[in-house]
Amino acid sequence: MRKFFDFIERYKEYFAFTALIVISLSLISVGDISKMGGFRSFVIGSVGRLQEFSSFMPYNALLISENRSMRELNLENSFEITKMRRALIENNKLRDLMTLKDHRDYLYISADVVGKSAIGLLNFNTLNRGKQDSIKVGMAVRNDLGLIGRIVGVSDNYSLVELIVNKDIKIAAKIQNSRIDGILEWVGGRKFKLKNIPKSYGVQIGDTVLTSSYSNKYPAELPIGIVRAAFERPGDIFQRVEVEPFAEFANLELVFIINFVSNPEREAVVSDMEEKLRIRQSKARRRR
Amino acid sequence: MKIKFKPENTNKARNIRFIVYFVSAIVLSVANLTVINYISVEGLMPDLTLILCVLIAVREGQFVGVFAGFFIGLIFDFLSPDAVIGTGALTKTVVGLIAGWFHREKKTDFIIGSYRFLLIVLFSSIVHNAIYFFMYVKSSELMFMPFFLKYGIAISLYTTVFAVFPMLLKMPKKGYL
Repeated sequence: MRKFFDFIERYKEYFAFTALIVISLSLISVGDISKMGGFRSFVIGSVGRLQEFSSFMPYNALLISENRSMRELNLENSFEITKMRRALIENNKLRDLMTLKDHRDYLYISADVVGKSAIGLLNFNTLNRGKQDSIKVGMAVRNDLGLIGRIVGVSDNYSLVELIVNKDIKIAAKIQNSRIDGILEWVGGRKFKLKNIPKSYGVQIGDTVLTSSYSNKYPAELPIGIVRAAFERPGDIFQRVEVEPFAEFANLELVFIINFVSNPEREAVVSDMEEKLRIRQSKARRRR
Repeated sequence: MKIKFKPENTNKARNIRFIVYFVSAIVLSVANLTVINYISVEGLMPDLTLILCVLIAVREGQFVGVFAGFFIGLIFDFLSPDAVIGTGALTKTVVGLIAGWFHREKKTDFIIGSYRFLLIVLFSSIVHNAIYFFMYVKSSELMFMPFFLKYGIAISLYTTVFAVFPMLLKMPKKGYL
């Protein structure tokens, strides 16, 4: 027995290490427990207040107000350009004579970025708008240039936006000119990959990429980025399309929250199906 | 000749040190989520909590180091708005174990005050980021190596730059560099 205790004493670091690793893995397997109760809301509120307090440091008040007015003007111009381009394409194809869906305009709520957090490569921005401004989880966020992300947490006065430069985000997108739909994924830096575009479809460099009406998370027709490269790979039925986002994620200051929340029933069906597919894939992988 | 009382070896001094570590862990975690962002380069930020974790492990040894790593990671996970609880705890526990290997009784100040401390931080940070990025890309189509080489190494180097500050604090006037 004494030998046993001596053995434990001798290697206590490694026993402690093993126990702590097991606890950590158990916590990870439980998932995001911070989502439970009001804890997450409390963290967002507290960190948001601290970030707002510290936000005075690098900013010049004059430049901020000038930037604000410029960006608001840019946003208006961006709407106009998007509408004009859309109208031109639709006219060219004589689709205006057909049953075109009326594209709804959404209400935009402007917000200041008061904090930025990066957990590894997951990027989040804290905005100074919260439940009191009718902000809800799931609302899309854009700036004057294009899509930024989606609200993932809200407290009374602050909200947390998950940026689209995140490997977990997949966006149903389409190329504006050809109206081809695909799935947009971040691949690092300022580069996205537009997947599922067949080789037979012509994709032009410089084409604008917008959110698709198939998206259950983002409203349709929001500008995302521009096609920078399109090439084919032997043996692949799809072409590889590289997209550069319009928005500069490193220096976001003023953003606009779109007062649009997707249908919860639609979202529940999609996420339920995604979960089932994920389980099926992991089972198939294990069998292999 | 009177023997001078050395407070470092008493339990009280040890407890005070542990309280200082705990407070530092909270302050650095909050700083990592708020003000440190202003010195980010291309979105990459130094990991100040990792430096603290290495510092504790080198000073107190491997046993304390793994516990310190676990709790520092856990504090950071809880304060991070959207972190998966446990990832920081796991990676920082590994850092505590690695850095604890370099603990030498009565030579801690010498190690922290020399370039060795930077090498320990760099090595621990590379292992930390390798584990973190492995977990990060696991559920996606991203390739581990390009991501790790692009971001992991850069974060490790940036973190090492900040490890210079504790090193300078502990470096003797006529240093070992």
